Amino acid sequence: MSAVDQLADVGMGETLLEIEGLTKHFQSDTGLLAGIFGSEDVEAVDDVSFEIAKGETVALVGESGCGKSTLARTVLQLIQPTDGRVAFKGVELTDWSQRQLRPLRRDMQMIFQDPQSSLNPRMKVGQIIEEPMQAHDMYTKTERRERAKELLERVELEREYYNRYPHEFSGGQRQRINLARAMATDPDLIVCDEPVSALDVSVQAQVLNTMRDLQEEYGFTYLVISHDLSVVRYIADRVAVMYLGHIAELAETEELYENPQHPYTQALLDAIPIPDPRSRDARGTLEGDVPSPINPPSGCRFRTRCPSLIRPEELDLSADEWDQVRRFTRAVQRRTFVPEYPDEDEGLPVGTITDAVDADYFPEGRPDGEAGEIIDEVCRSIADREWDDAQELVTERFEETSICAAERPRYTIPAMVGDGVHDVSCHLHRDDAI
Amino acid sequence: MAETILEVTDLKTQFYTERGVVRAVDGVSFDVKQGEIVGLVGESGAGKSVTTSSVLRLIEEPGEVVGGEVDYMGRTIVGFEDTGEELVPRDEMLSETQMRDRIRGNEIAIIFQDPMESLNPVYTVGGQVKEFIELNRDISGKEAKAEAIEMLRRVGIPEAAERYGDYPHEFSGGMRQRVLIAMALGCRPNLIIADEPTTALDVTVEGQILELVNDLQEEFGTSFIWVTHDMGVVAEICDRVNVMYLGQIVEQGPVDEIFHDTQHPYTKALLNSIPRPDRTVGDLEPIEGTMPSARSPPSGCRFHPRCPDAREPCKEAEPVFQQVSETSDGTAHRASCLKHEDVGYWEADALEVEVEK
Repeated sequence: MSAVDQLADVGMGETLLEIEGLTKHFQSDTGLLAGIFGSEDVEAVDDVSFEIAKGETVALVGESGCGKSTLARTVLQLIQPTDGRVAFKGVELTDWSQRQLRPLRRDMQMIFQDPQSSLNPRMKVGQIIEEPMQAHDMYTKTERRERAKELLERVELEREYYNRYPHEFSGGQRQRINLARAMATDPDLIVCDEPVSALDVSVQAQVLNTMRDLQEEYGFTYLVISHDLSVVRYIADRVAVMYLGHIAELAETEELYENPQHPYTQALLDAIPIPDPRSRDARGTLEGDVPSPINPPSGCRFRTRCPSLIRPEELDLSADEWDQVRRFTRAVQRRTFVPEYPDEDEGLPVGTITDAVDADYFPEGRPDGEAGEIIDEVCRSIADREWDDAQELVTERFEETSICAAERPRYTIPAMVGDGVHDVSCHLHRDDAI
Repeated sequence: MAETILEVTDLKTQFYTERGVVRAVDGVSFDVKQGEIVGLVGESGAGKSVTTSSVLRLIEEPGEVVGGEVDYMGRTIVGFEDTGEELVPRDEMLSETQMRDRIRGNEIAIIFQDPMESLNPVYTVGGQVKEFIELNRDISGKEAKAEAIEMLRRVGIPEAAERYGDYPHEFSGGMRQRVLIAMALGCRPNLIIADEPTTALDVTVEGQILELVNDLQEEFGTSFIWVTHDMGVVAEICDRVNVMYLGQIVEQGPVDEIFHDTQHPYTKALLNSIPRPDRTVGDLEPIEGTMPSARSPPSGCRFHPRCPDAREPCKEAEPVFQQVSETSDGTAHRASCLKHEDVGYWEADALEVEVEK
């Protein structure tokens, strides 16, 4: 039995797409030397699971490099996953070859970000829209022609545009042509990769509204990839926030925006400039850059930048002391704490360093016990100008001993808004998980 | 009130193409006061970047500044006189050499959107910052290097001294943008023109940069012209805003007035068309159609074919850019819309919005 024969009928609201443990690692180097010395993998997507119901819009949101586009392409099997499974309408896509999957593709279409380069400039609009129907042997030639014109109308363009070329259209119109093409085979799922990012704001609204209307009319399921949290709030039913190949948080849209639980989501929402000068506020800016996906941080991947890193139990510190230790750790890691060394190679007496450290970071005295000993040792390294040692020490002892580094968090908590559930990958929720 | 440092009056820039004359900037007037962040907003094609390039006289063939005045602290960057037949540059207009030596960089610096194109990939980051400082200030050698490192540290580059010798490709996008800001600030300019400096950046990085600009602006008292299409960024950092449409400024005023006492239908439509991160919006109201070409702008009010409020006179009468109100501290709020003129707008019939789909 072929893959296409196994396709089950899925009703509205039933699971259309099921993703489990999906993983995609790329080889960072595939040259000859890599073959000899081995190369490290880029962990673009790592063990990601979620489901999409028919008729719903799920958004994958995250910053560049978080793996959202790779995830979407892996879902469609445009990229072979390293591990995990994807089931579409009950068919295990990962079990079949590309050739065998081809007939299924009429049910899964994709729209790309750049409306300039995703339309063949040598083809007329009509041909562009008819192409997928032709590829799947759908309808007769006359029917296809009629359907293409009808689709142009559906996406709020004119039937007469059938004979024009892409260059005659604006960005927004071209994105509508893309929509018409994606709809041509009457698919269930349309994956939209940054569908309005290249468009001007006023035109974005036009295209987003059209996408909504079409979904209402035809029951499409959208998987939208976007970096724009405002666009996502407008269009999505559920949102998955990605960070460095993991899903940090997944919840219904209203819940996610009104009740964000992951420190990364909170930082992300905090960072968006709100179009209202009266809501200017002191925002908490996230420090540092996203780490490399080669050897990403263990446990929670956000922990290296997390303002709420959980204090290691073995250190026996109060909350205030832990805050001070965190500030000190960041200063050492980023070398923003720079003493005035007397000469090129000379160090400084330890006392000078400890005095400065105490004044800047521990005005009420350094913590006792193990933490105090570690800070002493760090100061000695700084006095000897052994910065690498100092950095390694704070990272190893103050960060990697946290539960955040030890295990990958995965919790589900009850939602505050609505009656759904809320997946949050953060150990702060280890006690209220259901 | 703070001193006005830049005054642009009726600036006109045209591009001569095979298919006709493009009036990219068509009579733009605005000013910048000391220590102020002035926004220049609009959609692509509105003429924002051409305006700022004209202010720095960076317009190249086939473009040309054809009229208007740009005065920077008493110095004439652009100025013409009418000989009866044509407009010719006045004598006091700064020469190309004077622009290069005395204005660009050390008085007015510019930061572009794409930091990778603004940095030379084959020179070290620190070296480029140092060179910039040497060219524009009277320091050199060790002192300039120390200043460069200091500036890099100030803009939040971690391990600034260690990274001085790194090349641009070793920096992330946000870090490169910080380097450009360090470069611009290192020359202690009076005014920085920032042309969509955060558009290519991720939102958390954008947040870092906006924060940085706010801090540095307070510290150095630098003025900014902030070019952007993002109303969120405008709301976040600008003191006054100029909204551009098709080569003209259609509304100008303090940021709070622009958002909460909007006087031009285009500004209003723009604000209604953006999805909000902070609240759930039922339905967005898009602006119908697309911006027409600056080669053949519509008659009358340029926005009338897309304007939800358009009435008969809008087709013919060109609105005057004029003051419509004033805040308590005397800051003008200007707009160009017939609603504020006595040309029978209120008595006339509404126009059907006709747009090509």
